[in-house]
Amino acid sequence: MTDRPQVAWTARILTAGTALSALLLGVAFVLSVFDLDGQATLLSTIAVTILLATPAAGLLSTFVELRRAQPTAAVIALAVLALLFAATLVALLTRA
Amino acid sequence: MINLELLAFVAAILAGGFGALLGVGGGLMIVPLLTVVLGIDVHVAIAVSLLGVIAVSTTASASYLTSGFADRRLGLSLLVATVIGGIFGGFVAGFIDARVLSILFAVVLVAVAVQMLRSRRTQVAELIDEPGRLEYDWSYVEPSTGEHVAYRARNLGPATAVSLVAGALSGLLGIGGGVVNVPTMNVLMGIPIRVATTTSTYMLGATAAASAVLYFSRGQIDPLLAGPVVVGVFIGARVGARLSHRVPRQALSVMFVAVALVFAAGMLLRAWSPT
Repeated sequence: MTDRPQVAWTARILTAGTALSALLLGVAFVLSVFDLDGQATLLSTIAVTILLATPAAGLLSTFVELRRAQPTAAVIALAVLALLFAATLVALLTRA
Repeated sequence: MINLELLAFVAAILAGGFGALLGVGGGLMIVPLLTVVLGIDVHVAIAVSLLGVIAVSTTASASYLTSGFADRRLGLSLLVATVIGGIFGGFVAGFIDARVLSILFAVVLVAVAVQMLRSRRTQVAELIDEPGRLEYDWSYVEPSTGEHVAYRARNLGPATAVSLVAGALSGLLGIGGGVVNVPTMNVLMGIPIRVATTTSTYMLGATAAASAVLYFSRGQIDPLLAGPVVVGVFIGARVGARLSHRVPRQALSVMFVAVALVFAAGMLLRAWSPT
């Protein structure tokens, strides 16, 4: 009950992914206020992609951190990651 | 003329702040604000709301994991169900008419308002026997008392089934799913409320990402709206979290019920009004 697995890398990855995405979205927002819609759209699209990938990156680092201390939980993290890939695949196949 | 993005930014700050103060997340407020007040298409509003959910969840999760409040093992177990539900909800939403989504959203708003009026919390049971096959024991340190609180995660099967519904609602309506996840963990599984809320927040990011990619592929994420909404919800949630200890919760709950009912009426009016 007291064997706490590491969380540092997952926490760093989640923070970095969101911070980078929020920064780019913030800049894109300022550009859109000044009617620079082309640049704002491009920057926002990159930011959204980073934001969408952040939970998946967090799950990957969770797998690495848990694989020794909690192997079952690590496998579940991989299963969730596989589901996110499946969602991406469905998204690509049903793309408008 | 005031720019739509600026209005969305202000709406997102309000929604994020209010959601954080009450622990219901920003999605429940941002979707009606964007659709009823700003006249944005409900699919687009749901899609950008999901982005806000991801941003708030991943940032808060980093802190909750470090502090040891979020139970990662529990969160991962339930995530399998919420992500499957999220994919289903996100996929189905593409085929559902905006009017039907508005009605569904209004129903959920009323349900959450009712739940808030009769909120129930479960005390943690004492651990005297060995955990069963699908149960496990875990603990955290309660910051208000410094006490080591041990608990047992029970009823994983039924909780997984409810989580599936929470994920589907999240993908369908752009809400976080915490309104379902937290009572499920606390009342059904016997998880302490602090662990339930933080673990739910940990789960929301991946759940929302599973459905958001589907909205993204359908071209329903407006990149120019994503910036103000994500940044606004993010700022609002941080301010709301800081203020949450100072603002009387009872008054907030009453205010939420009133606002939720007004928004529910607005969503219903929108559903029945000619386009």
